[in-house]
Order: sequence, then C-alpha cells, then structure tokens
Amino acid sequence: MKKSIKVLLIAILAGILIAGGIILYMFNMPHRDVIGEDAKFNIEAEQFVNEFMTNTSESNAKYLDNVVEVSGTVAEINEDQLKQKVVLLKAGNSGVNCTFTLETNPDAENLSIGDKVKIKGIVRMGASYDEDLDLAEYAILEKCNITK
Amino acid sequence: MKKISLLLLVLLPTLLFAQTKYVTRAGHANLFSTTVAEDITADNYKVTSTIDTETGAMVFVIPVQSFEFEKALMQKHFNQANFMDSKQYPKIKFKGEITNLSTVKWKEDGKYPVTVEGDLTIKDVTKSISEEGTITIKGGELTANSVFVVKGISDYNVGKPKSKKKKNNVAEDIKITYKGTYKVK
Repeated sequence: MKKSIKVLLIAILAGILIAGGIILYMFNMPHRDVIGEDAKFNIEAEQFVNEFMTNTSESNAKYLDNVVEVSGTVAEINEDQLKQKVVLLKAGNSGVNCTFTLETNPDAENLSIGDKVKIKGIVRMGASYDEDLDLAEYAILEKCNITK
Repeated sequence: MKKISLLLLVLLPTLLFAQTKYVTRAGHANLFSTTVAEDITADNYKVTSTIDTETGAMVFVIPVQSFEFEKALMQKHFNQANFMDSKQYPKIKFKGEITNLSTVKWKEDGKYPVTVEGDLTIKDVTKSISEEGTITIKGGELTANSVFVVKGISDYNVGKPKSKKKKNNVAEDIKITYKGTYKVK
C-alpha cells in the first residue's frame, strides 16, 4: 500500500514537472528564425505584385506569413524608425518593400539603385491599390537578407 | 499678353496639382494593454499613412502581421483566427478628417494640436472614433503624433470567446501610440 502511494506521488510529481516544462517552453518559445529559413517561393517582383493585384484573397492565403525570395531591381533605399534598411524593388506602379534587420543591414548597405538582387523575407502584406490612400501599397517583406 | 498666357499655361498644372499630400510608409504604432496576468505590448513600424493638407483627410493602413511582440507565443495568438485573423484580414484601416484644419499653419514651423474624426475598420467591423494628436512642422517635414485608446476591442470581433460563459481574458481597451514622419508625395 505504502509503496503504491509513493509510486503514485512520484508519477503525479513527474506529470506536473513535465506539464510545467511544456508551459514554460511554450511561453518562452523562440521567435521564428526567418533568416535561417529556406524560401517557400522564388518569384519575380513584377509577378509577385501582379498576383496580389489580380487575386487578392488567393494570394493572401498563398503568401502571407511565408518566407519568399523575390528578385527585382532596387528602386529606393531608405531607413525606418528602428534604423533598419528598407529596400524597394519596383514593380509597375507598386513594388515590394523589403525591410532588413539590424543584423542583416550590412547586406543592404552595399546596394545601389538599379542593382539586380534577390531578397528573401517573410511576407506581411500584399500589394494593392488603396483608393482611400490614393496610393499603390507595396507588398511588405520583413526580416530580409540578400540571397544573391 | 501672349507671354502672360504662355506663362499661365506653364504654371497651370502646378497650380492645379499643388503638392498638398504628405505620405509615410514607415509610421510606428505601438499597442499596449494591461490584463490581470500581464502587460502586453507590440510594435509595428510599417504603417502607411497620408495627410491631405487641403482637405484635412487622414488615412492610416496598418499591416496586422507586422506587429512584433516580445513573446513569440503572444504574436502567434494575436494573429490566430479567433483573434486578429490576420490571414483573412491583413489590414487595419482608419479613414478620417482633421476637424480643426484651419488652426494648422502647414507652411509655418510649429506644433499644432489636432482632432481627427473618422472610421476605424478592424476585421470588416467599422466604428466611428474621434482622437486627439499633434502635428509638428519643422523645415518642410511633417510629423504626426498621437496617443489614444481603442475602446471595446471585442466589438470588432477581436478576442471574443466562443462560449458566453467564458470570460474574455483580453483587455477591452487597447492603448495606441503613433508616430509618423511624412514627406510630400
């Protein structure tokens, strides 16, 4: 009797520890390593933008939250409020806005306008024309680095 | 006479299309909420916004997936279907107007308090809001700042528990802090 209670207690304790460990792991789950991830799609900036413009909902489902490698020509190089480099690949009236990280900024620092590049990053938003803004919204890629 | 009309002809396009529209594609929005369990904060540096100095129109588009949280798990929950459902609804939009437009001297350096009224759309639910902010003009550059609270976030179908018995564990009020530096389009 005594022995079985002991075993039961140990089992319960072990269970609590495992559950606690899982919760702790989940809570402190690391952020997605976008830079270390392989691209799920490789696509030309022009085609990427066109897909969003012509079929928004399908493209949202296909590309959002996925890592994509986009090839295109550098049209602008800017910096955001975090001092991250933002490189625009022009595509028609719109484009693909690629934000680097403080770690990958040196990749972008060597770029010049007109350069042909391949940039990989996670897709946060598609390209569209917004009539309220009266602007073409760029597709947004973040956590970018240059692959070629 | 001929010269004057020629001059007018040259000037007309610039007069008609006077540069009155300011744009940013890199506004910063921070959201902050307090719950019993913890404080939650997230940052978004990808806000697109326009200000039309002639009509007072202000538009904001915020890509939902660009909100970054300290905890990866929180970011995951934020984007999930029962919360922001960001794959289905990738943007938050505000479209409004500055109601005290005449008090802002767009060509003079200064700090101008503004009230902006308009429609906030989250997950296809649109509600009227009115918020305060400041517009700072310095050497042709325009900065917009605002701190405001979006009240009753569950009214936008955000974070509503499926079961009515279950209590909503998300704060109803979300504080937003915004800063954007604009340039002429």
